[in-house]
Amino acid sequence: MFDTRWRKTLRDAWGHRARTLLVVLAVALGLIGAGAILDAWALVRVTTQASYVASHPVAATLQITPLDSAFLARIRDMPGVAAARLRRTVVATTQGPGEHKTIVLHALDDVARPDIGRLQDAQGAWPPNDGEVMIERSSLGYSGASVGAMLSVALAGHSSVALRVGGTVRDVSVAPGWMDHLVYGFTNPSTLSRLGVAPGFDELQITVSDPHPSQQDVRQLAWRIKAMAEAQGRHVGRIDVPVPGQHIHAAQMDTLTLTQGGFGILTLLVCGCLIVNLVSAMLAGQRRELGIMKAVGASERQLAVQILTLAGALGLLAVAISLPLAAWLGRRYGGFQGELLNFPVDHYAIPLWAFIAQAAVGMVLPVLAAAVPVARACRQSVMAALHEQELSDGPATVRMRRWLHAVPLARPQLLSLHNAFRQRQRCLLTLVALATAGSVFIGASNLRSAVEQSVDLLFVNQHHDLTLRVLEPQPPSRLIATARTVPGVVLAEAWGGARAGLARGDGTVGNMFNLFAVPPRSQLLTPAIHSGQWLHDDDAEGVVIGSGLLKSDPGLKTGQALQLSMDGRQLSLRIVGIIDSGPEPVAFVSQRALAAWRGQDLASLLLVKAAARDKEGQLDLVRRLRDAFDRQGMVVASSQLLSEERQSIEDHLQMVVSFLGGMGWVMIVVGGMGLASTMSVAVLERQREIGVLRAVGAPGRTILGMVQLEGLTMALLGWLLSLPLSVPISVVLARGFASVMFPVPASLMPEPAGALRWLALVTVVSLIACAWPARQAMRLSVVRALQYE
Amino acid sequence: MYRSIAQSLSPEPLIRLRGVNKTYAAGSAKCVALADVDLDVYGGEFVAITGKSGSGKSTVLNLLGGLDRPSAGEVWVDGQAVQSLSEQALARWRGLAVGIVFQFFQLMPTLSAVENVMLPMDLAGRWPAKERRKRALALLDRLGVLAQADKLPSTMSGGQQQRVAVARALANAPALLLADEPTGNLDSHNASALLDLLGELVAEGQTLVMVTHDPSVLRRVDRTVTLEDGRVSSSEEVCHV
Repeated sequence: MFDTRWRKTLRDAWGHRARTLLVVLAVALGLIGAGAILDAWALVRVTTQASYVASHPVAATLQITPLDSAFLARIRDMPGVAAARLRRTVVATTQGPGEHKTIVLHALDDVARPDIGRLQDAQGAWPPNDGEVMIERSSLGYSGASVGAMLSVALAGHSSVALRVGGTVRDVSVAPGWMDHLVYGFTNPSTLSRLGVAPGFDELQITVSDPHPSQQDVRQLAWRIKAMAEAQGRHVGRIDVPVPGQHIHAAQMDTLTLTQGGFGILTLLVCGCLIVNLVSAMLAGQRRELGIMKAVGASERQLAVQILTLAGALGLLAVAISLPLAAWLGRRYGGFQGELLNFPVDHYAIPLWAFIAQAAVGMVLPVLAAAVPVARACRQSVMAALHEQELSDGPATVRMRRWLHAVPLARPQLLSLHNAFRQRQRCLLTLVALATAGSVFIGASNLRSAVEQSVDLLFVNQHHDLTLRVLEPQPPSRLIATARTVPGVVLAEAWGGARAGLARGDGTVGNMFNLFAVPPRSQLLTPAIHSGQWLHDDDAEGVVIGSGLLKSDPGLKTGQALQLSMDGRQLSLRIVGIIDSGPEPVAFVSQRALAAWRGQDLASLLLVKAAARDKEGQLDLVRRLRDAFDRQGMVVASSQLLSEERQSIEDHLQMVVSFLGGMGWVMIVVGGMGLASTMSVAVLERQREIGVLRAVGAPGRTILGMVQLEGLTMALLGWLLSLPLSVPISVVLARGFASVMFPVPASLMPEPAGALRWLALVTVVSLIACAWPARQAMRLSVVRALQYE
Repeated sequence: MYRSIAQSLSPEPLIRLRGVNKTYAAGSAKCVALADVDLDVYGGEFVAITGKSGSGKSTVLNLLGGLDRPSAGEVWVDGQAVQSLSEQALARWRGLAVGIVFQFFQLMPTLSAVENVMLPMDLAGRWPAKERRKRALALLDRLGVLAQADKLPSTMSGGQQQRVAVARALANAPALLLADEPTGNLDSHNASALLDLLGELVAEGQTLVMVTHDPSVLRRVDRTVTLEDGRVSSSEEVCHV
């Protein structure tokens, strides 16, 4: 079937099974790492496009009262409006055993409308029957409820009502409930009435007819609707216009995937180094045979085609191994990303092009990596191939020898050090592979540490243990006095608050964020000033913005005038400072400023420092505080422990760090394989030398020690190189992470613990990688070694 | 005797070396391997090149086989100026026009005897694919190693391996057979048998140039060319009684 050339090629590959397997494994490992990222990205991309666009996401939501069908009909006839619907949203509390959670309940005028904000994956009876609530899938776990069970829901100021959880439904337009610590539920207007909600809708939602509108276009349309509503005597409150056609987290996830894609490519490059070494080793072993082939008529091209075809075939084999594994990992990671975006990925297949791309890379990578050593080997003259290669005695070698002679070591150890640098190209590629793996490992370690520090920094400024939000704002003194009646409260502060948006020059308002009215001399908040200063007691016009606000408006600076839209009115303020406040967009004004603006000093948020340091004790305090507020006729809308908030944030951040750490491990395995292959080849090439050493009396353990020392020398050099290389890696990781999740400091110095861990690890990797070659060298018989051709 | 017959049959020499020089760089110094070598070999001749170690005899063989290029001068083999060929053309020419037998056999360890013989045919594509195995078996039969056809080199004796190597050298029916110390790694019995075989090939019209310093070989050749310090010191016909 094959001519003798191909038979020889196949038998050579089979004859050196371990080396062939290493090539296949190297390519497969690289492809699994890079392929998993590509698969996850492709899957999420398909899901985003297909699932999000198919849901006909709402382009704008306007809070308007009153709303009626006549007004809705007029909106639907407006040019530029594709579809419109009415919605009622209420915030209530679920009452589970010992815990209260905030539930956002929506009731729609027409749940069956397919052309606006379509809900997906309904499990159970849809639309919900009277007395039933459908829970948004991503918040079912957080709610603690289960389908078919009863969920006690209380609207502030009303008695709790048991609603049956009729099923689940997915709303791809909201962030996951477990992430937001919110339960999203869908019900009908009559069920809302049972809870005590007055009849009628208070939100108008629209989609636009332009398939690719800009956010500004939609804002202008929303403002035309606002003008029309106000002309009819209706009151218009909040207006939300998200970025059209794009999920709120999609851009960040793309950035993260691109950063990780960069590491996928880095993994492939490390694999490429390994392949170059392995192919060089294979060709070194076949040097004489290649010469003979040329002597009997083989052209350079014939030889090159023969070897490169083998490389391509091994790549194909690697593809066969890696594709399903990468798909499995990619699907899991894609599922995780889908969870972050609240997109279901289960029903979607990884697109064919992702598999084709991986197969192409899998076949091309070994061919490309092998191209240079193959070209060099094939160009070698028959004469050179048939004669034993002598050790180069160039100036660099002489210098190296002189330098090594100055090292106070015994002769065998000196020989080991010298051997480590004998094949400079092979040594360099091994070092590159080890250093790259190490730098990613240290980079991931730096990032983990930076994330921990950042979360620490975020929470170190917050000295409260729990928060309670009351439904109706109260005088701060009343809230504090009530809290102080409860044993276990060490300190309590009452904060006011409002929803505000940045008023833009064109009359529109940006997305809404929380504006806190804080006591300037708060004992429960020590602001981490980024620039400018904190608020003063008498600061009636000053505002301090949180760093999270800079994400959407990066141009904001200290000293700049700021127009806020709040309660339907405009408020002129000046930025006096910027503080580090985590990813959420927030701003702070003095209580006096908000009181002056509203004409009364009211607060709705109570921050409490508890005596109890454990979670159980703090949950108990929450229960007792709720009871105390109930007795005073104040309805607690929601409550949260700071420790839970912190844990939730850390969990989400560290998931991404763990994935990057995983990539580092893949690279370490590949780097270790590179060292093992280099040392195997070194032993193979030096059988005669080893034989001579044995013949002149070197015991087996000396030979073993020499091989181990040679490997360890390269490993330690790789470690040393990885330290400076980890700096750019850490910066890239920190920037990628900051764009997605959370601003973290980019470390310019390797984290000492991470660097030491990598030192220990690379030592172990070296000992393991050199174990087999060292054993082979130790067991080599003197007679065989000296006969070796 | 054979030379005169060969010369009478083909008036143009099969091999012509004119003013051939070969120098190698040895660090900063230059090592002269051949200096102004002129040599003619006619078709059907059995020529031994002999001389002390380092005299340049292997260099002549390498130049004739297109394994190396002269630093100066011309090497003509069967009407082809070897030094003017590109690497690609040289490889093809080598596969078709020259067969080389090495001292250490140099068989491909992963190919069986018959596959080793088929290898040059596969590379050159000279014979139809279906005929190659048949031809390879015929050559092995001719050299007395047909029974070893499907064995790997590692399972054969030195003599058998060298016969397979000769069969491989003859695979594409080359005009010129070159042998580099072919008996150097064989015992006397196998060496003698191999020389008998090579003699038979020459008798059938094969041109053979062999590098050797084995005196027993010199008795069997038509002509002995002796090299000394890279120069031809003598070219003597051997009188066969």
